[in-house]
Amino acid sequence: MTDPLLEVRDLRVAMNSGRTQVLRGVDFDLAEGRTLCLVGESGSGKSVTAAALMDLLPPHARIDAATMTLGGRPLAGMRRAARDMAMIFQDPMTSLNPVLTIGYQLREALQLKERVSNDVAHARVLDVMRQVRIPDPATRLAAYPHQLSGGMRQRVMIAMALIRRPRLLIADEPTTALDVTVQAQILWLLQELQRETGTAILFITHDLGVVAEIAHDVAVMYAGRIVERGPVGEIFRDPAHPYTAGLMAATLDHRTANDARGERLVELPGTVPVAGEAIPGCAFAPRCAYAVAACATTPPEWRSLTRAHGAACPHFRAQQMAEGIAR
Amino acid sequence: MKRGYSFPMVFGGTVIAATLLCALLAPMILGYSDDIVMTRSMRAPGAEYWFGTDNLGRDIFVRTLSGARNSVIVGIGVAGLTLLIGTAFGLLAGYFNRLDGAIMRMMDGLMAIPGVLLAIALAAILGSGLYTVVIAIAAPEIPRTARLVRSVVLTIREMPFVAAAISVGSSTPKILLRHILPNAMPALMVQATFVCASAILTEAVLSFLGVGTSPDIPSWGNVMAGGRQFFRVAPWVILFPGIFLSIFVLAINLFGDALRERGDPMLSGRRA
Amino acid sequence: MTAPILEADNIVRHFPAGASTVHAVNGVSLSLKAGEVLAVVGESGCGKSTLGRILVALDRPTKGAVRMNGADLSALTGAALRKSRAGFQMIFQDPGTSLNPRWTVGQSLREPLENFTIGTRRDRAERVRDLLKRVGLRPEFAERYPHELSGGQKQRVAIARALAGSPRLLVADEPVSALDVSVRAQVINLLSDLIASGDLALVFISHDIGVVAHISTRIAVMYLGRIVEIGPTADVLHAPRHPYTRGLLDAVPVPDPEQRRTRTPLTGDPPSPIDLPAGCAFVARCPHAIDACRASVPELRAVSPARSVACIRSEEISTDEL
Repeated sequence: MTDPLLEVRDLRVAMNSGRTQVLRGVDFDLAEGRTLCLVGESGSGKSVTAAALMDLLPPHARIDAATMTLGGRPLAGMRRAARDMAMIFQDPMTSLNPVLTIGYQLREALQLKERVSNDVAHARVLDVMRQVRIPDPATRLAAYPHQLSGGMRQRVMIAMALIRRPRLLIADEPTTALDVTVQAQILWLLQELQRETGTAILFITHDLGVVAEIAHDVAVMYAGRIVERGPVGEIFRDPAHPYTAGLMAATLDHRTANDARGERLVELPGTVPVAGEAIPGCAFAPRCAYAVAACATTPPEWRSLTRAHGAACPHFRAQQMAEGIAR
Repeated sequence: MKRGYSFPMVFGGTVIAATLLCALLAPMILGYSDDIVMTRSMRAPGAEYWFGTDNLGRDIFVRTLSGARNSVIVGIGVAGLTLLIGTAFGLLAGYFNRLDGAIMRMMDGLMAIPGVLLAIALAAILGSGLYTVVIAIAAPEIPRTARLVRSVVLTIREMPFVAAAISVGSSTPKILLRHILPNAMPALMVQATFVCASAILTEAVLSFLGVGTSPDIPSWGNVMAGGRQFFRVAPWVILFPGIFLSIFVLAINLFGDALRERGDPMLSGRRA
Repeated sequence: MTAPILEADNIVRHFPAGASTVHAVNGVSLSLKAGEVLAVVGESGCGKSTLGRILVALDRPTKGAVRMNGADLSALTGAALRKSRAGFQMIFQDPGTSLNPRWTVGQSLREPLENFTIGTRRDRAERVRDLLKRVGLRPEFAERYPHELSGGQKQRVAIARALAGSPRLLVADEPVSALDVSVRAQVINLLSDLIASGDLALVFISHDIGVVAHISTRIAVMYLGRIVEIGPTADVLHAPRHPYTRGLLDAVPVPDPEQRRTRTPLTGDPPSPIDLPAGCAFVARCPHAIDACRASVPELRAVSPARSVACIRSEEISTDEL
């Protein structure tokens, strides 16, 4: 077993000069050639985690981490350009400069990182455009972002990320703004690219369908913490945190959902906590059907189920087993 | 979004409040005791006359404080008039596509009239006075406000709550006055502060050029205008009203900026 | 046989866009009875939202007619139209912007009561409390402003407002897309309860096939302003007959990592509604297209009593071959 490419231990982020705690200790690893999905809802801290890795947080944010290394090198204090990673965002239109051609922006992305001649750069740009399956790349070079469709723009963003040959690709809800047929194309493309280049992908999403499609490993976030982590198959087959189980129940499978028409969906009561609220115990306790008195006051213990799969909830499993025996 | 009170807001607010107080109370306390007394003309600032006197022996301290009244009247008058008319036109142009072209071309025409020339023309027709000055300064400001309101309305009318109001059977006047206008207010208040500040400055310029208010009704502008010829021997005549004018205009602008930065809690995300 | 609540007859809506024309809706007919939930699915630009707005008279069709309980909506104007709006209401996608931010929840709920002159001034407060109760909110919410509410709570208020005039038809345009996954179920259950409890029909516009599968009785699949397939939900989902429906369903991610997609996804992008292709709009992306497909626009034809498909090859190609 080689060391993981990306190692994060006890990552904490506080906004507003330390007053608003948005990440409250996040741990995960990501190995070369693997895809880790960070799953969570608004305010869970999944995008803040990505921004912390990329050094994209605003100046008033305070970042603390016991470990935050990429390929063994600590990220803290490293220049943004020196970080061996690239990121793609939800809305490619806002990430592309509307007055510059695609070709210019791709070449610039490369030349900011590496000193290469214009000829070499041009060849690399054409290569990477072919790699992301942009049809007719030579003519597309001269196109401006608004002349491309949403799916094509997202391909350009991926090309822009890949042209620097990063070891880690961070994708923050890259398909949320896209139509479902285009989403399928982009997800398929990302998997192909990973097979070709061996890049690690940190994929941020709120959609469990997308997770099932693309993830090797999953980390479920809630209120600034990872509440469950494990290989994708185990997480879906055997969720160990009541929040994960709740998300699963709320995610409808179009192949089977109509059979249960008329039945009520399982509701998670309440709403997600607001970022920065002081949370002494388990953040999910107020919405949890399995909570005991201690949940609101003491931070939940981490329970490992298998070597790679664990959750921050000691009660859910115990109660499920008890119910199973009673039944 | 900022909460609490920032320095510009406190400073701006305090200066504005103090000036308004002066404008209201100065005539009562001082009783317009800026009589012409030739025997005390051109006195330098000192214990007796804090800000000195002008060539006609009028107390500059008294004239500066009472000048606040007329400058504030001009500022508020112009802001009020501009907002009232500009908002009406802006609302109509922004909401009704059919009126948009006609109203905005009319506004473009109005905008082309130079304020100073209009003031001179109006002074010639109506005679010089406070109201002439207010109308002359307001006229070219109206299109700017109309433009702003129009653009704000164009944004607000596309918001789903307007479609929802139509859907639940609200009439067009109700939608304009109860849904769109209240949501345009924050932008209007910020605009009002800027119009007010610029009107006070414009009034000073007009008075300086001799087409503003007459010297027996003191305003910061015409007090300074009166001291123009004697600037070398009696700089205090221009200095003190000038300082008051600058600080007041600065305060209004700071206050307007602070209002804008503070944003609008109603339009931001959930507080929960 | 009950009479339909809603009938739309060959709806066309074109928008001028500079020198060109956006063909948002290109001839849609449908009818809906009480207790039915018709899902309208399709990708961005397929005209589903424009169609929704036309059904509740927030927009007027360029051609065609909408009849509500048999009455032609296009014949109504002014006050008569305003009064008739009580019968059909819309629920919008983003509850954050569908409530006036300067009004309390109570004010927003009183607005339809006042406009439709429901109840007396005195008992409207009581009616507001009833409406809140119907959507599962406590009476004290009447005093709150939208920014004090969560997304799910705001959407409940929006639903309560739509219910104020006791409508027969609700059109919900992506009502849960802007909500967090964990609060979606609350709103979906609320809508299901409303359908189960009353003589209401619901048009549910969504791109989320999972939610659609759960809530709808019928599905209409739209592509470039036309319905390409319409039929009972279970039939359409389990045995699609139009190649686009097939491609759309195959593209929906399945929340089960052990059943990852094996079929290659549909290629290309949804075409622009500005330049309509001649013939079938789907032809450029269709794996089964033949020359005849480019010749003329395929009619929506009944393939079984409840089922219609707009594909000239629907007889020769079975679901399994699609």
